[in-house]
Amino acid sequence: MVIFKISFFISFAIFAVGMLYRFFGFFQVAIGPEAKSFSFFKRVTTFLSSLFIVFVNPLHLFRLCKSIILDVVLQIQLLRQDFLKWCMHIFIYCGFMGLLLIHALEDYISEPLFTDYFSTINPFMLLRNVLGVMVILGLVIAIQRRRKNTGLRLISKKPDFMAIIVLAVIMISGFLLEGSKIISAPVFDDMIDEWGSMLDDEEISPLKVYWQEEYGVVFPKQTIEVTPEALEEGEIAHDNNCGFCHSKPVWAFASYPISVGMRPMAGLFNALRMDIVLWYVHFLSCFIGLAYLPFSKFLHIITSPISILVNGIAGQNIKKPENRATRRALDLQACTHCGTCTLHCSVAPVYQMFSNAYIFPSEKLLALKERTSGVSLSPEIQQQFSEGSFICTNCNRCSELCPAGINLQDLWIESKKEIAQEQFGDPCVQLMAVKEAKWSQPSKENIKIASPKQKTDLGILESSMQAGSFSLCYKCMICTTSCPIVGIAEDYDAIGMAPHQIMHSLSLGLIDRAMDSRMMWDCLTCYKCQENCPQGVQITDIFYEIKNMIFEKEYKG
Amino acid sequence: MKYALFSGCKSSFYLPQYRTSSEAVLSALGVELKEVEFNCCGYPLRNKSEDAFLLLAAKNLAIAEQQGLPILTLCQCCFGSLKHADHYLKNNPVKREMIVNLLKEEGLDFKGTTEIKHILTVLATDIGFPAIEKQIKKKFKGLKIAPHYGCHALRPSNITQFDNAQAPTIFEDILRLTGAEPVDWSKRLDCCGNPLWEKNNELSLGILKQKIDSAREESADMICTACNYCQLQFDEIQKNELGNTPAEQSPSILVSQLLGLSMGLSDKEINIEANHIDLSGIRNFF
Repeated sequence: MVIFKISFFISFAIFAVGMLYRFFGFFQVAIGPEAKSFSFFKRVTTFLSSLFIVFVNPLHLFRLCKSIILDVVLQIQLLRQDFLKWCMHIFIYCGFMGLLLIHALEDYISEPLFTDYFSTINPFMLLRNVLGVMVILGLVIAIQRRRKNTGLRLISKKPDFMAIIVLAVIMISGFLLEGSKIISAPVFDDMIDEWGSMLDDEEISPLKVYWQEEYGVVFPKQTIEVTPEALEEGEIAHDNNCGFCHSKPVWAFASYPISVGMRPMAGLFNALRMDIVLWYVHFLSCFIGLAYLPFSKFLHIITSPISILVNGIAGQNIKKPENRATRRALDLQACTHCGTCTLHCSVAPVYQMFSNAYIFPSEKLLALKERTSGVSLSPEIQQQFSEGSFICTNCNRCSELCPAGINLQDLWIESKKEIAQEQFGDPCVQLMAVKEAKWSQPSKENIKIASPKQKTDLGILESSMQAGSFSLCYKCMICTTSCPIVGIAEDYDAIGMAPHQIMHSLSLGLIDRAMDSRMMWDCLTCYKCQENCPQGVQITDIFYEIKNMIFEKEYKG
Repeated sequence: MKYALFSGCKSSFYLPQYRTSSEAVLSALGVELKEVEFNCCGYPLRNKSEDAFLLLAAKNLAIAEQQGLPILTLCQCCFGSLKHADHYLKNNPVKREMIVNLLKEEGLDFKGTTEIKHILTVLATDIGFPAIEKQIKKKFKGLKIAPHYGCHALRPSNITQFDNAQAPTIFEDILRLTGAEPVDWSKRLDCCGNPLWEKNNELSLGILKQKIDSAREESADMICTACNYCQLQFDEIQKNELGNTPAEQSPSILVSQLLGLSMGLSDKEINIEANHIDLSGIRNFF
């Protein structure tokens, strides 16, 4: 019991400190340039005043209650999206909550509530098995989904499996513990010592017969003679002394078969006091789970309901910027990494081309979490995160579907604003800045007119279907005269080169010159040049292709 | 008439009124729209990677193919992007094979049978003017409108096959049904400037300003758009960034909102309150 208490207090202390750290973080972590200007104190007071308004406004209270029932408990959003996933959630949620309340906190809940509560009688024994099996079923679905679904397999990481493992160890050790106690002769002896003061010595051996036959206890190295008389006597002793607190073990429909399986090894198990070993495993794994909670995806047990409720009351329209900043910090921690956003992401297929996991909303959120926790991401990761962020089209689908009610849209809008001010901004803007610098300091050396054959880039351009047409250009300048950007620019220097000059430089094999021109990135892609070209040169498409080459070479490379 | 609705990424969060008003107008005209989970049309990726653009666009075409439905787009950039991809894939066997192989991994296929239509074409050609005319309840009087054609539907015309790229009429024809008077403005077929937004804001706003000035020169009461990006540029970005006073602004209305008003549909669906520049004065033209 000492170890039980010490380990409990240690894990509870870690849990409490972790939770405090998280709660401070909700009012401290700043995502987006605007959020950085609000103090911790300002955010706490704004939050409290808005919370007060929720509780005095009947409409808000109604929405709150509705959201608690439909969104938090019943998870209607999830049910609409994916029945199997809903089953997984409900099984784990109901099973675990039930076990926590009825079994783990039995001293505080079950005993005061039910006067005849004993963990070994029905309905409690049966119920414990039902709840445990529910959690296991939920875990099986969780593992299967993460293994079978290609999208989920891509994003599943250590923390996802850690959570499953911790929960599985708690559940499996619980069943094994119950099974080992059923067969345990030492436990039987302990019970006799503790409760059997009324029993005569002659009654004990028939009681053993009865418990061996009816309750599955295994007495190794003892010869227990089973006779109808002994059985009858045992039953009487059982009814008088044990029956009040013990239902037949077969009601523990999951643990009982386990105990049957353990019977051949009963001698060894009883000698090792396997029941005690498993009890240690069981409670220690529970305490590890408790200590791990604030730092793992288990945190969502606390944060997701809050974000679901915020979403249920305010939707995506939180008015006060201080509260929006607080919500962003909370939302980051409310993610369960369930992958719904990624599975429905409007630009997710780009991953097949760019192999950048930060295109996926679920992974972007993880990176954002890391950024805000003070970990500095490596330049490569920063670059990938930025690329992924600016591929996002802000279609809002992830926010609409998130079962945890996270306003992902707001996270993306604000994080993009933040990244845009940093070294690794929008890839296109980065490339424009590079071009601008190059163009403003032109190289003094004479550029030789290259042979197109030696230029691999030009070769790519020539062979591509839509871009190969540049050689047809006879410099009539219709493209340039119809270009709205040329029209608005003060002179050609402002844009680098005009469209006809770019076509001309391509004909001369000077693709580098074209690639360095600012015009590439200032092109509106309005297709006026291409539409008007009498030679059918696909000017806008050539620009697109050159931009793709620049992106590939100078950004990705 | 049944279509798979392709509302485009920008309509869900930034322009919900385009979607609701289009659905209301089309449903009143007897068109059935099916909600299909498409992905991005690929247009935003074109600057970066043709392959990524083609994959995104082709996946949409393949999904519509699986549903056996033509695509109806609200956004002209989505329309142009899908038309381009369809054209490239049909004319470039190497790219087609690469894309088809990637689609196969997801149980999809590209045969190239999907029809791609923009809402203006559906209104003008598939539904037809007489059918629309029947549903018009109120006509505007003296409302001058500058129709903004939108580059990516109009050009390159050999691929988009939307209308005559030099002298299109489809937009004006639709506007006239509501009693509005389309104005002929010099920048009618020019770009709204949005493709450069957040990349080169100065240039983007310069182009936008030219458009606004041109519409105001012809005394247009408002601009009318049929594209997510163009509407964002003329409405939200004009209001927030151009620094014009309300008297100097040229508001912008979506074609579906204009038709909806004239067809007497519910305010909730037309939702002109969602537009950033105040449009409430439009009711005075009835």
